[in-house]
Amino acid sequence: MEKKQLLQKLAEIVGKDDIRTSEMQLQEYSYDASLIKGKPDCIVIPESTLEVSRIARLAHENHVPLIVRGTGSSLSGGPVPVRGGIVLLTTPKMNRILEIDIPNQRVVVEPGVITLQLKNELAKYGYLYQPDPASEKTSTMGGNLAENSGGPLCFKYGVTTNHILGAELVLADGEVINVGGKSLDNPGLDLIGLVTGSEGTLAIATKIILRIMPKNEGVKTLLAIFDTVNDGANTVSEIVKSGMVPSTLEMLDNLAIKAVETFYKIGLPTDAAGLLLIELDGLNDGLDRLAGQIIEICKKNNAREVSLAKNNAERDQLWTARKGAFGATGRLRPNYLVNDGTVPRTKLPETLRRVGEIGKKYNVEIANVFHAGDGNLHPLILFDERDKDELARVHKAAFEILQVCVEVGGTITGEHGVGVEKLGALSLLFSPADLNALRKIKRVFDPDDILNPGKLILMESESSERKEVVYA
Amino acid sequence: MEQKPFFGKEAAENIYHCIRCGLCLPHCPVYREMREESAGPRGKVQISKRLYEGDLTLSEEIKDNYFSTCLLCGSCVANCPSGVNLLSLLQGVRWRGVQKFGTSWKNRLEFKMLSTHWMMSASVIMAEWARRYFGGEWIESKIHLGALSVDRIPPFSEKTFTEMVPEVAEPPKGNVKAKVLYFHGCATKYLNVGVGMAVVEVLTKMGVEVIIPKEQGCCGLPVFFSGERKTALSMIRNNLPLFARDDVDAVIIDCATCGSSLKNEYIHILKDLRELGEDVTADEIRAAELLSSKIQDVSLFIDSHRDWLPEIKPGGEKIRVTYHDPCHLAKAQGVRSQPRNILKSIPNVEYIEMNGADDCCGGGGSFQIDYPEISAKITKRKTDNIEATNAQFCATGCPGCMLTISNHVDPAIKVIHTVQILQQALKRSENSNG
Amino acid sequence: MPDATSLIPVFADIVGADHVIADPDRLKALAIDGVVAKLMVSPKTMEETAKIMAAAYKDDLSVIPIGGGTKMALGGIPSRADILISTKRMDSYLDYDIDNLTIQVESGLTIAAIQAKLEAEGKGYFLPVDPPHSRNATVGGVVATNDNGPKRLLYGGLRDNVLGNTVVLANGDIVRAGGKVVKNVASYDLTKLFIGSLGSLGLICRTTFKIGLKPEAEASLLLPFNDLSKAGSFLQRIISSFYYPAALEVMTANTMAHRKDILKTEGNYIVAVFCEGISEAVDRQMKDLSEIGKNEGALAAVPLRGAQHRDFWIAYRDFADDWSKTDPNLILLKSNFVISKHAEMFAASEKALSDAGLRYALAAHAGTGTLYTAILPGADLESRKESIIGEIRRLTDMAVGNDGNLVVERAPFSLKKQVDVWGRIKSGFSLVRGLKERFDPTGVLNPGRYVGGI
Repeated sequence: MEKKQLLQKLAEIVGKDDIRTSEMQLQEYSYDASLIKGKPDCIVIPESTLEVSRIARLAHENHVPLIVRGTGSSLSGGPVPVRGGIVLLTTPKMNRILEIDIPNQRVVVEPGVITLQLKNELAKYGYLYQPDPASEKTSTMGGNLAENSGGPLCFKYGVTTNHILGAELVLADGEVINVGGKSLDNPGLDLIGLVTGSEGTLAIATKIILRIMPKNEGVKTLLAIFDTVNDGANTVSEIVKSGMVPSTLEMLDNLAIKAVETFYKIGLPTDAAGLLLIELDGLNDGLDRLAGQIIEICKKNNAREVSLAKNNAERDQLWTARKGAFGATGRLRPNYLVNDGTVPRTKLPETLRRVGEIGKKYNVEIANVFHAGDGNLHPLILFDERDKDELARVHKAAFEILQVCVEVGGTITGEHGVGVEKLGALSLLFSPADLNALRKIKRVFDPDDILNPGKLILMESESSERKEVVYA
Repeated sequence: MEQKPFFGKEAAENIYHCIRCGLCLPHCPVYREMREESAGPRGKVQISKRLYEGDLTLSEEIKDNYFSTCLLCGSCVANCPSGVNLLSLLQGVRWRGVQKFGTSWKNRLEFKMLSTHWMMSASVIMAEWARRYFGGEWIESKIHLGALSVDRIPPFSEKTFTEMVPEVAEPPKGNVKAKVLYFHGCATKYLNVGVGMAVVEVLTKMGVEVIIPKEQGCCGLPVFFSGERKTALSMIRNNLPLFARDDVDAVIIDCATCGSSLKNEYIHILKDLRELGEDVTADEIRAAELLSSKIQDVSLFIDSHRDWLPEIKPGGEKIRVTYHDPCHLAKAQGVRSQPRNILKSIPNVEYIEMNGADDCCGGGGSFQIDYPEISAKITKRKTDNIEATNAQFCATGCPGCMLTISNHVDPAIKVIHTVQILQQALKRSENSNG
Repeated sequence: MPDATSLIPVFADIVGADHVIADPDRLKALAIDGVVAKLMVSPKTMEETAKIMAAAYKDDLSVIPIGGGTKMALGGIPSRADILISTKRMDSYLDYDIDNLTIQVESGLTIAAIQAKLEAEGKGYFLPVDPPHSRNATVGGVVATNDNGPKRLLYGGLRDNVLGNTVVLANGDIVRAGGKVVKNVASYDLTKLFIGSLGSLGLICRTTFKIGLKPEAEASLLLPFNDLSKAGSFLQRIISSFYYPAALEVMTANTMAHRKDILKTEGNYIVAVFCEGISEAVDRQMKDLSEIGKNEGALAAVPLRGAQHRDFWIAYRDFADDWSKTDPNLILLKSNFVISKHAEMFAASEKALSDAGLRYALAAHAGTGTLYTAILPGADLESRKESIIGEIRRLTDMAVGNDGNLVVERAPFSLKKQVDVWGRIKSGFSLVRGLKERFDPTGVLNPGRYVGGI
């Protein structure tokens, strides 16, 4: 079908006011928060499942790629239309919280709902949606589902997939189905588990059922400052070994501390080598004792300073700083490439040392912000995109870091997703048989490769390994 | 036709520091309503990049977009972890856009009025006349005031503020603790004369000598953000020699927008124009830097010298007061705690913080006139939050916000300048003495 | 199609002749719904399993995995049964990484054995998994059937605690899903696909679990009630609070009738609360919940600690096994539903069964919305069959109406023939069938037993 005809058909579905085709608009959907670029053919703003279903059928019949987008805060190229096609924008019209079901501790949302907006709404009822991606102020629930987003609190509460229980899905051919539900452990294959984290390549979620939990009685936030990153990492290991389960264990290294302090000015020591943010929650009883125990462990591991947030304002300040850490590095150098390889916790000191060596080898600056509790690294490799030589070195360094993560028993991505950025690293982790099994999934859901093609895994089975390397 | 450069080198650097994280989006009042990339700051930074690098041609759509979907509130600037200043980019694109596609006649008229005192006076008379004879729907349909309802716009003052005060106002008891220049914006001059009177009254009671240059004009911000950078330049050149003075302790401003203009924008615009080869001298930039260092919002000045204030005796009727943060004060100048400190220090004020106190009121100067629907939604959130406090007064520090909020909020709630609350308290305290 | 027995030499070559069983009498004892397999092969390693599966695949022979044999009653009646593959000899600990709180184990190990080993380790560790059939359930069986226990409330279910599965596919390919780190979004979450798949897509050989350090303190509280609605409102109140018990259960007075040595309380209904964590918080919950319970109408609040507490939970999890010893015709239903409906579902089940004049025992994980209904027809099975089938349908409707479903976990063959043991087929089944066709194109894995008869 000609593009003009396709647009005509789309207009019949959503109305012509909800289609964007100007060069300016196309450019505005050609990026996310990663380095991947790709321009769509048009942007469509649906407002109902029915419209999404009809658009999917149209895309399917005409073999046009279909890419769902929220606010585009993905760090792996998730919503970037690398092969063109139709971008379905969920934020303008599919952004309602459909149901807050307190007695059953579930909510039902549309994909364009912003994570923090949901949390603020739930706070009115004394409830929490636990996952807290650093981008929660802007990320959408649809995006969280697609990427199986993580966040600091995941150490205790698990990642997004542990909180998504069901969804209404539009399949590649437009069929609408429901998977999972408000209840737990429905018999049959865990399709919602499969779709969560599938980066928009299997289905389009039009309604999402989430688990919510009553707010904890008490929270304690501690901040420890270290003169070496190793001391910090050892502290983390020792805390976990002691049997305590803090809700978060977050670390920033010197460069990240500097970046954060430059912007947020909350009085962090910019000469410190590492900062550890620890949070405990639960019933009030015993929390003080645990905090004391943690302070002791920090001191034993040479913490220069350990302090307890005195009130909510102090706590909020620390978290705002942590969650703005990625952006703040933009003050040091214009760009960064971040990956999110994850390693077993005890391998953190070794991995960080090797990351440092890789930085030296390629002469690139690396700031580290990481979820220490679950071994989830975020090396931010800083550069200036105008320096092409530097950019090439950055890509090499990033790949080598992933190699290290796999070597020490970890994985290539803990929460940002494979997207386009890590296609080339899949073979570090998976055998050809593994990759074939993954392709089987895609073939069942989307045999014609309509949904978000070019992401997560490539369909061209035989030659794909070679092709994937090209992407690296 | 070859595209002239949009930005000077320093402004262009902003483009490269945007890492597209999207953390600006939830802070942008326009994006929050429209939820499309074109409505938000990140999209504009990215389009600026493509324009600057020559990958995209400046179209009328881009020009319109840069005008229609930004309130100039600066929320994105204040909340960008990477320190990207969209406003610098916005000015450049609007400027070239206007050069390429022209300004609408409505804006042209507005700016002419702002840039010449005479036109402004004339418009006052005209508006008064229109209000008296028509009012309501008919006039609204004729002069298109967008989201504003005309019959709730306060009447223009019969005499301008300049006519009502001496050029130098001295403290009553001679002992001068400080000498300041007072830049009152157009709003105080024509509309909110009472605010100006309050500023002068409070400052002189503190023992401050207040100099009010008669020849001062519009700060220029509405004009240079409208792409009329040349017109703006003449306004800056009018104000600079009057206010860039070494021999005063501070330049006091009662208007958040004028404050951000004189404090932040003058330097930027002069530098940018100079880098782009326009006729701006290094001396002028130095003068702008001097002026910037002297600028203090009136609440900042009063709060840092609170010990100069006469004692306010307890007593009098309790009043419930809440405070709205003007974007150009909180985000552009970082003045947040000072007005609250002042209010809380007044014995008969019961201060209540509203939800989303630093959310934009939706006015954005002429934004509410040109884009009433989006503006009205943003304003509704604001007034809901104000009304939820049950306050009798909503204090703020910006005439623009005062106009927008008072136009939409429950009429039982009075919207006034922070300094006016202080003025009233001082008066009551004195009277209870007498 | 060649007979499975023709492969005896091939299998003997792979696993040794001792581990290939072809004796019909021994195989008859392992019959599934009366269907007797031709052979049972017991590989020692995943590689051996892969070779067996590849050989079977080549000859189009069906493969049924068996672990502890505790759940062979689950699922539809097999359409074919050529080879049983016993995982029991695959019982090694592969990556026993206590410091990182993860272990990778082979699927033939029992959960009980792993718990015992972990408990003896250093400060004491545990697997946050407490399925029924506490003594014999193996890793493979528990994962393949997604069999969760009472502590799912605090620790989550298998989908939350399994980090990786290594699986042999129908054709003998070995596929590794997931890994050993808690956060892992590298491509599709295949790990979850195999959880609860009943061996229909592949045979799980290795599983990596999260483990935890044994909590500082643990104890439980028994709260007998005479009035079910009062028990229900007590439970809902705790579910909606900031207390975080590990389990919140309610059962009928006879549920643990075989264990009068452990459960001595009176009352028509027993609420059981499991508390664990830091000692102050456990003490506080034991105290507060006792008080709240009494205010809500509990007849008493009996604390259990130490051995008493531990024995109670094991016996509770195994209540249906205990009943099946006295009533081999026991029919066990497991329904799931939205959590606020626990009391309603419980009451409705009770009413329906007592109105029908059937004996029963009920146990519900109130906090997670799961109800076990054991129907005890005894010798009256045949005469009451129609009535039982009617009740199963009615209870299924009810669970489905509350956004859940109902699985007949165990039933005598004569009854099983007449019901859909997997409850209501929901939308999306075409995907389930599609996945089955991709992973097991010739339909040799556990044929007929899984959802929709696939």
